[in-house]
Amino acid sequence: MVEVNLKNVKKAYGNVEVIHGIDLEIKDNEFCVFVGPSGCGKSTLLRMIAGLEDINAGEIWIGDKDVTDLEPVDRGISMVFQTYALYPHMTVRENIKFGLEVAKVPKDEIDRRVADAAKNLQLDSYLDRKPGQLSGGQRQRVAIGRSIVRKPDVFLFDEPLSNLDAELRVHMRIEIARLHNRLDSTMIYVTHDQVEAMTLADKIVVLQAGRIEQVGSPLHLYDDPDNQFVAGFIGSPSMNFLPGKVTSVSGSSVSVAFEGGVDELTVELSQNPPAVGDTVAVGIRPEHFTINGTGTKLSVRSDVTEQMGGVGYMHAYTDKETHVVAEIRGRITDLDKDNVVLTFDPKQSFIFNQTGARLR
Amino acid sequence: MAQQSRRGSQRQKAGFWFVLPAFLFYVAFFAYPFLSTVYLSMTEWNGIGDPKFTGLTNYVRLVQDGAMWSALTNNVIWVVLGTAAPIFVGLIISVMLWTGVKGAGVFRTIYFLPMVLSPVVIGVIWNWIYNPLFGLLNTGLRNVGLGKWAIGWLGETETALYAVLLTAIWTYMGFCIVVLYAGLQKVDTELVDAARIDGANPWQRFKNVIVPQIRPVLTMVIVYTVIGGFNVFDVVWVMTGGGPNNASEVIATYTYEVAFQNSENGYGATLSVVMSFVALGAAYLAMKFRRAGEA
Ligand SMILES: Nc1ncnc2c1ncn2[C@@H]1O[C@H](COP(=O)(O)OP(=O)(O)OP(=O)(O)O)[C@@H](O)[C@H]1O
Ligand SMILES: [Mg+2]
Repeated sequence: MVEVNLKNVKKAYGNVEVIHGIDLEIKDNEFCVFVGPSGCGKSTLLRMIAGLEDINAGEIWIGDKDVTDLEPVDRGISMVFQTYALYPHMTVRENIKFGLEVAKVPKDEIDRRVADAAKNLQLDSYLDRKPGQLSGGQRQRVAIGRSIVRKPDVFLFDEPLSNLDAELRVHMRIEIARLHNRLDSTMIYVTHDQVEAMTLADKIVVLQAGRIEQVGSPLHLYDDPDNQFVAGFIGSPSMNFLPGKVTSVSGSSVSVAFEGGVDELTVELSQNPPAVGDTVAVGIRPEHFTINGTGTKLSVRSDVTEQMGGVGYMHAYTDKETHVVAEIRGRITDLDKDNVVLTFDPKQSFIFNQTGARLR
Repeated sequence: MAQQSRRGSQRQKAGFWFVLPAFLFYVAFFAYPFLSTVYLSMTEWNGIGDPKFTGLTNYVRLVQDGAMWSALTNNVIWVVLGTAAPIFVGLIISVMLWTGVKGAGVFRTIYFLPMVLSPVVIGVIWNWIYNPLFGLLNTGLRNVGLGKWAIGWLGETETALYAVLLTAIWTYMGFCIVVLYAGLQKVDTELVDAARIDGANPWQRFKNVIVPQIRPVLTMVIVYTVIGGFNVFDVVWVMTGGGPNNASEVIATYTYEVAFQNSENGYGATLSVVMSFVALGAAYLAMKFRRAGEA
C-alpha cells in the first residue's frame, strides 16, 4: 500500500513563495496528473515529492513513512524527466543499470532486470548504443526503463512527452497507460497537455499560481468545475465565457442578461444565488451549442470555421467582439455568416461570479 | 559541369589569397625562427662571428649533461604537481561554485586575479611572503608557535623548488577554476538530479556524471599546464634564478644561463629544440590519455 500524502507543504525561493500550502492525498495505484499553466509550480511540487527540492513547511508521506527529510533514493521513487536526462557518455545498458550498480544489486539480478525492461520497452537492439544515437521516442523509453528497473513504489513523470512529435506522443501515451496497468504502482504525472491529463488520469490536480484549484476525476472536473479557472482549463476547445448582469432573482430562479444574448438566460441557482445587478460570467462549452435549435439564443457573426471532418469548430464574435467557439456536427450549408443564432440548453450552462467562483 | 569546376577552382584561388596573410605570418614568426633554431642547435656559436657547424655534437653533449638532467627532473616534478594540484583543487572549488554558493561572482574574480597579474608581480609578492625574517609565512608560523619551522624557503635547497612551484600552482589554480567553471555551465543539471534519483552520492555524481561532461575542458587545462610546466621560466627566474646551487633550476632557466650568460648559443638552441619536442610529446600523450579514458 503506497499512498502519497502532502500535508500543507510550502516552498519558497528566497522570499518568494511559489507553493502556498498544498494538501493532497494520492491513493495507492492511482494515476494522478498535475496540470496547470506554465509557471504554476507543477514541476516544483513534483520535485518536492522526489526530494530534489527542500520544502519550507509541511510534511510529505510516502506509504507509512514520513519522507520529508529523506534523500530521493530513500523515498522509493523514480523520476522521468522532460529532457530525458540520460547520461550521454554511457550506453543505454549502462544508463539503465547505473542506479542498480550504485545500490550494489547483485550482478546477475541487474542483468535480469535490464533484460526484462529492455524486452518490455523494445530496447533489446539498442542496449549498446549511446543516447545520442537514439530517436526521441527511444530515448524516452530508455528513461522509462531506467526508472522501472529500480522497482520504485511511486513513479514521477515531469512532462515526459512534451519533446516528442504529435504522433509519437499518442503512441507513448498509450505505452505509459499500459505501463501503469502492468506495474500496478502509484504514478504522478505532470503535463500541460489537456489530452494527456484527460486520458491518463484517475485523478487530476489543477494548479494555479502555487495553489490547488480543484482535485477530481477527469469527467468530474469537466462536468462539475468549481470555478471559472478549472472550467476554462479543462476541455478543448475551452469553455466560452460571456459577461453578463443579473436582472432578477426570485427564489432560486435567476435571470441574466448576457453579451450577445437574444433573450435573457434563466437558471436555477439554489446554493448561492447572486443579487440583482451582480456581474457574472456565463460559461458554455463549445459542444453544447446548436445552430437554430431550441433553448437560449445567442446572436453572433461567424468568422472562420475549422472543418475536421466529423465535427467543425466555428469561430464567431458577438457584437462586442467576444470570441465564441461552437462545435458543429454535420455539414452546414447556406449560413448567413453575419446573422448566426447559436442556441444552448440553460441547464448545461455555468454561472460564475466576479471572483470566478461557480454559482450553483 | 565544365562551368562548375571552373567556378570551383576560382573559389580555391580565392581561398588561397585569404589564407596567405596568416601563412606568411606563420612562416615569419614561427617556422623561420624554429628552423633557424634547429640549424643553430647543430653549431657552435658565441653570438659573435659566424656559427661553426658541428653536426650532432651538441646533442651528444646534452645527453651527457648532468645539469640538464637535474633541471629536466625538476620540470617533470613541476609538470606532475603543477597539473595534479590545481586541477584537483580547481575541480572541487569550481563544482562548489557551480552548485550555488552565494556570491559566486565575487569568488570568480578573486580566483581569476592571479591570471591577470604578471608573473614578475606574482614573483615579487611571493618573494615577500617567503621572506625569512618578516615574510607573511614565517610571521604566521612564529605566531602559532611553530617558529622552528620558519626557514628561508627560497634559500634552502630542499624547499626552493617547491616554494616556487606553490606560487605557480596558485596562478594555475585561478585559471583552472575559471575555465572549469565555464565548462560546468554547459552541464545539464537535470543529469545531476537524475543521478540523485538513481541514488548516487555526491562523490559518485561528481565522478560519473559531472566529470565526464567536462572532459574536453579538462583536456585543455591539462595540456595547458603540461606545456606550461615544461616551458616555465619567468616565475623561477624572478624568485630564485634557479638557485640555490641549481636546486630550483628548470630547463628554461638553464638554457638562458647557457645561451646568454655563457654565450653558448649553439648549445642553448639544442636545449630549446629538445624541450619543444618534449613538451609537444607530453601534451600529445596527455590528450591521447584523456581520449582513451573517454572511449
Ligand atoms: N530555482 C528557482 N529559483 C527561483 N524561482 C524558481 C526556481 N524554480 C522555479 N521557480 C519559480 O517557481 C514557479 C514554479 O515553477 P515550476 O517550474 O514549478 O513551474 P511549472 O508549473 O513546472 O511550469 P512549466 O509548465 O513551464 O514547466 C515559477 O514561477 C518559477 O519562476
Ligand atoms: Mg515544469
